[in-house]
Amino acid sequence: MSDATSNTATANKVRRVDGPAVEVAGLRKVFRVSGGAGGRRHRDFVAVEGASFSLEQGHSLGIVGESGSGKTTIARMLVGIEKASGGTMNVAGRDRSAAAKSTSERRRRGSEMQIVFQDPYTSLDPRQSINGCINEVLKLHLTMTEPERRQRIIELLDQVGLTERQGLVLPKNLSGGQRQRVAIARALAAEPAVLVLDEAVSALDVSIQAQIINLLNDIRERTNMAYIFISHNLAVVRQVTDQTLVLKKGVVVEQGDTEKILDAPEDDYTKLLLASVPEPGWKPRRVNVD
Amino acid sequence: MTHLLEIDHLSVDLVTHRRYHKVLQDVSVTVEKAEVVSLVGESGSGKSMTARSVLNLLPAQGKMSGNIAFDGQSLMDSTSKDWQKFRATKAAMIFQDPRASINPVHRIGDFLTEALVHNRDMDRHEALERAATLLEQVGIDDARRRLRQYPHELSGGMLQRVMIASVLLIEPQLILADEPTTALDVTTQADVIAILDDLRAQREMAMLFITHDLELAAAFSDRIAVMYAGYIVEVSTPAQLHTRPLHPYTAALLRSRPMLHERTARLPQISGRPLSAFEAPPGCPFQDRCPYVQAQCGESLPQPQLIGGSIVRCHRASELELVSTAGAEGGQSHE
Ligand SMILES: Nc1ncnc2c1ncn2[C@@H]1O[C@H](COP(=O)(O)OP(=O)(O)OP(=O)(O)O)[C@@H](O)[C@H]1O
Ligand SMILES: Nc1ncnc2c1ncn2[C@@H]1O[C@H](COP(=O)(O)OP(=O)(O)OP(=O)(O)O)[C@@H](O)[C@H]1O
Ligand SMILES: [Mg+2]
Ligand SMILES: [Mg+2]
Repeated sequence: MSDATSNTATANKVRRVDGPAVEVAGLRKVFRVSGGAGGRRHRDFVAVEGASFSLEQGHSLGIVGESGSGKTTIARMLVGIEKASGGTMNVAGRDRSAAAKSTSERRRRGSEMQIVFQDPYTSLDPRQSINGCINEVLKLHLTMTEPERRQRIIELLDQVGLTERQGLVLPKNLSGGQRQRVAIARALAAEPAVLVLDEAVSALDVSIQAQIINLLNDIRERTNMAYIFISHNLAVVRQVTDQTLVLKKGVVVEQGDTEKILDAPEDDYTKLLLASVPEPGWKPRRVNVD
Repeated sequence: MTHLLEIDHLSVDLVTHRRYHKVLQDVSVTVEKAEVVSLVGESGSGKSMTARSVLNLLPAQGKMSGNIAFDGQSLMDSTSKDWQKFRATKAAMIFQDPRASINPVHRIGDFLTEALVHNRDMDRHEALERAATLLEQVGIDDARRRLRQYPHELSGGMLQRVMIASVLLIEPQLILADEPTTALDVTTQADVIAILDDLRAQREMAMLFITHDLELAAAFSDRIAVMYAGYIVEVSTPAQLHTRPLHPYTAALLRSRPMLHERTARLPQISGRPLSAFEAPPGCPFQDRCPYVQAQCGESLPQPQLIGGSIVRCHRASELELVSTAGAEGGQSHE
């Protein structure tokens, strides 16, 4: 690998849009789920209840919280895979509360926001080589000649610690962390204004994780890309975000500066989270959230 | 003495583009009853394949050589029927990517009870009851409703806990846990680890525990094995490993940890690129990235040697004095 700060030929596009990169108000998601009590066939399940936040260009927002608290659902609504039940979403100055109506609209949204999914394997096409998958994104979102694209693929793979040879294989031939890095490289390829990372470094050993964190911090500085960084790892959230939002059962229980939340949490749940981080002297014991 | 699990000189070759490539080299490790052995190391170094070998669940056409024994009996000559029985009763795996390994068209309840109903002849209703109880124990509310849902209706961490519950239902003697808590928030993780810890204490359940969380590994395991490029390069106790790592890779890995209480301008990373086993040069697999490399490192593969109770594969292990925290820059060679 070359140093993560390498003077890459591309990926230096500076973003200029007016106003915040992302603005969300009163975002809500209700799922209709089967199997209600008392013989009812369906009932409503509120997965996200009124989340509001604003993310400036070049800034980074962490979303932490309980498993099942709605983090991925928020991400999926932002990228348009899941329809919001209420609230408004603005990305790069444009409203996306309604579904994209045309192919060109979908493409534009893709160049504004990319996502690295929590489950990398299921989000990669099993029949497509790694090179093919990144090439597709480059073709769709950037104007480049074929040799330029080839060069760029090698560079992107290198940045996430993968070799040219690994670009030739299928996702199934890679380890879990290698697939996760492919998903990161693919999302970066589009040079989006906003990158959503859903547990995107959780399957990486700490040394490669450090490389990716350094890379993300470099790119943010250089290009003004904004991140929404969903993670259970509070130490990583400390390194890559400046604002943090804490979710529990679909509700935002605390939000503000990352430093403040990690150094002087106010909500009891946030305090419990911090107390549960394995550190020297940590002993496994039931915490019992409720 | 017989070990519960003994992996002895295991090598594994897998096929990519119709050619075999080595992914594990001369891996030896044991797990005793009621013992937790953590497997840490670089992405792609072979942790998952080591665990999968124990259950004969390598990818298609995968070849293994060496020996794997359970309770003193070699598994290498097992028929596919033997393997099936072994996996249904003695040892079970929590897979790394639950969404890719749980059938998306089956309800959670069917996934959880399949093994009990088919291999243990348990009544379906009883099996569902047990499944619901276990789901509640791993912190999933409304467990009975969850049993009727499909995998896509559950969050990543919920599905991971479903996978954990599916393994606990079998009550195996050995669990191969491949990053079982990566999708869990830290409080839920503490609950799940506590459950596993109880099973170890009460039922002498043993575990091969793959994780990237070096603090979690330290708190939960009796020994830690570190993998690099298909080799186990160090085996040590948690205390030893954290205070006096013996392999330069281990020390570099420890120094890359992000800190919870402090933001680091630039995290220390290991220079150079990760290697797969088959790409490793002759000699020490870490030589190209090692700050302490010498001529001998390119000449011969370091053999495992015992130093102060730890096992390490490094020619220079006895003369180096390595440190595990950043700030104490790089570590100095002992004069
Ligand atoms: N398609 C769906 N149908 C019904 N319920 C759903 C669906 N998708 C998500 N849910 C429910 O919404 C809630 C929030 O899920 P989400 O995936 O957003 O959680 P999360 O915070 O990302 O959790 P994790 O940390 O475990 O990934 C969960 O209770 C989940 O079961
Ligand atoms: N199905 C496969 N076919 C060919 N090669 C494979 C296959 N699966 C994995 N490999 C290769 O085998 C090596 C070891 O993979 P393994 O999954 O054991 O790594 P790992 O240590 O678990 O990594 P991670 O931490 O990223 O999950 C990797 O270099 C990977 O590219
Ligand atoms: Mg999620
Ligand atoms: Mg793995």
